[in-house]
Amino acid sequence: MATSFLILLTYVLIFFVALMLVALGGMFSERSGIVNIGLEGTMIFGGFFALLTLNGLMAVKCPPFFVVLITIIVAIVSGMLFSMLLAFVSIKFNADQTLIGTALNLFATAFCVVFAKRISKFGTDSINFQKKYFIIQIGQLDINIFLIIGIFILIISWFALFKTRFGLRLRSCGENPQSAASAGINVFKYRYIGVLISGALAGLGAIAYLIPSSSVWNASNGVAGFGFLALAVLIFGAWKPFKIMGASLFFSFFLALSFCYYDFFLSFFHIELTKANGVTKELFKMIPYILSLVALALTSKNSRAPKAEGQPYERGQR
Amino acid sequence: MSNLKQKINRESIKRTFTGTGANKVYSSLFCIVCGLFIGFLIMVVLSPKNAPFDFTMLITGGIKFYGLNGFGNILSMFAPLLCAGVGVIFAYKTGIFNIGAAGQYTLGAFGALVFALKLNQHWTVCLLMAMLFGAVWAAIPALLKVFCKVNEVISGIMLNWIGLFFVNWSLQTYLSSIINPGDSYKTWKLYVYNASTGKYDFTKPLISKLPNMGISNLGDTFSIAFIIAILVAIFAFILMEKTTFGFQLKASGYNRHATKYAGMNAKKNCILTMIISGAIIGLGAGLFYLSGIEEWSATISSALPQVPWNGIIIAFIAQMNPIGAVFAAGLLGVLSTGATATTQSVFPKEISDLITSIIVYLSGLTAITMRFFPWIKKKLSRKKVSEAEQPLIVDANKGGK
Repeated sequence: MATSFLILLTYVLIFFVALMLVALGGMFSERSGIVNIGLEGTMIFGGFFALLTLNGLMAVKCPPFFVVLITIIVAIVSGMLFSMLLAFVSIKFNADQTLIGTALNLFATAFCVVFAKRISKFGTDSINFQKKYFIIQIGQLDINIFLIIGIFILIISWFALFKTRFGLRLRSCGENPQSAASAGINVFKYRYIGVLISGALAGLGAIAYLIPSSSVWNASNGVAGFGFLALAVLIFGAWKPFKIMGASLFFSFFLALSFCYYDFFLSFFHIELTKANGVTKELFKMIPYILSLVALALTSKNSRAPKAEGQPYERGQR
Repeated sequence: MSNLKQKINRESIKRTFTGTGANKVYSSLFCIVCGLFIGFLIMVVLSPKNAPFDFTMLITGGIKFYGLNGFGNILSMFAPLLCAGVGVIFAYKTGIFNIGAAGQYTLGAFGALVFALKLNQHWTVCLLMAMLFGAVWAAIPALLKVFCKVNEVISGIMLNWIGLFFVNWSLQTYLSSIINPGDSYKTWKLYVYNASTGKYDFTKPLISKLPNMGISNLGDTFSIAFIIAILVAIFAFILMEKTTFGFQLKASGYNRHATKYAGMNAKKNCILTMIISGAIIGLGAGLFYLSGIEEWSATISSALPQVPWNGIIIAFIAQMNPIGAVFAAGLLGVLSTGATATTQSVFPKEISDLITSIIVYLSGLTAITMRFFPWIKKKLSRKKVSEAEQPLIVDANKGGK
């Protein structure tokens, strides 16, 4: 009983941090007025390069502290570089943000599969890696270091968004860019910053998801819709940091259940859930999406979404 | 008289090559060429030695490798791609970005396969069911948009994953009889299966498999599908360009409030458009799975099918023109077939997805590329003008002195 609960808790914590990081990233981008559908692709891209770096550092027997530090930095930087592809064309050239995001998702998956297969000795698209440096054991519970980083980032983003001049300006660019500009704010600059933060957090979220949860990554599986789930968390969390935290905790519970529902229900309720009973992991994976769709249907009429999100900013427009 | 005729001819020809439509074609071609070039560079990075040979293999659709079968493969890939593209275009004309195409496609495949393998229906019934399932799944975001003001992009994304998980859950539980347990949870092939020998009889296709119209030398997957797809594209073109309904759709795409003011039923039109769009995309899924290109795999629950995403790509390369979509789908059909013929250890088949995603990324920049060609023309013509005018200016200066 205790072990199955611990396993569930471990999974919940892993998914919670990763979802929260990516959703916070999405929050910064949408608050500045750019819809980042490409979060999924950014995660794949950032995760891919971070895992390659991790393997490289392990091969040269780098000290643990530097392995962790450099891997995280690589994930953040590659996420930022990738999100620049979105930022540049949607801010500078007013391209359709949804289209570019979709294109970037497709690009990231294809790019990583092609290069993973080319690098691998056997032509497979999977990358093996070791996660030991990222895990701190407390009693029987595995705590990954991303949990600590994640909580720091949560507090920092709440503070930055609602208690600083920077946050006020960023939010104003997403609500009404024309009036923000008339107050002397450089809308383009704040939108670039918003998208870059989203790229950085998506890259970090990618390794927070990939490294502690497994020891092998299939590039063709990508991050299994995690980036899209983060968008759902963002909506469920009403574009606010602490609500996003709550939403990610809620969603990660179902996600974790989809991995270990069998043991959990057997030891707690003495019910055996099998395919013959009509239960598979897909059932649990479906729940977060259905809930967020319902939440959307109920709340969209007086939505808290940034007013100008998805709209290109043009100087002359009223 | 003949002089005048010549002049008119020249004028009309000139207009064909310089109008807005022509600019669209040029800018799409420009994106395609750039995308292919970047793709070639990536192939050079992967392996400089094999790149030229395999790149020609890729852009010729592997004809050299597959022969006539390759041509059949291209045509059978072309059909679902075209349907997906036309479906996305149809919705976009009303201003709806149908990112839920993947979900509608998944449900379409589900409908087709259930009626083909579980209920053993004729292929026409299966295709109709694919359309129905796709239409129902597309109606959900439309209803949510109209009555609850939910952004169709977000609800579409949610419905993609709900659809995928729902289908895979169904196939593993109450519909598990259409899954072949011996073939890593893929659905049965569309041939008569001999249970005692455990083998398919490839000379006897099921009635649900699309007929090949008596042409057997173009490979197993070749079928009537491409004709259906082209008919759908023509139907969509006529519906959009030549009917009142089509006019209303396009009008509400340009200005939603104006159409409402003009007395058009915006809500009804929005729902109808999405239903038609979903039906066309569902049909595409039917054409894909009933021609036996691949089997649906019920365990890969983490990846949405690739074809509907390519449909979005096609829609944007074709710049929202159904006839353009025929050519764009042809291009993607060639690339995706060609990519299976390259040296897989060096250039995996995903290289075609890589190239097409670059093309569509560039086509997101139509605002620039559309301006690019008139700009070049202006530069060129200005040069001529200034050359002609220069002596005059010089003369005037001389006169002044």
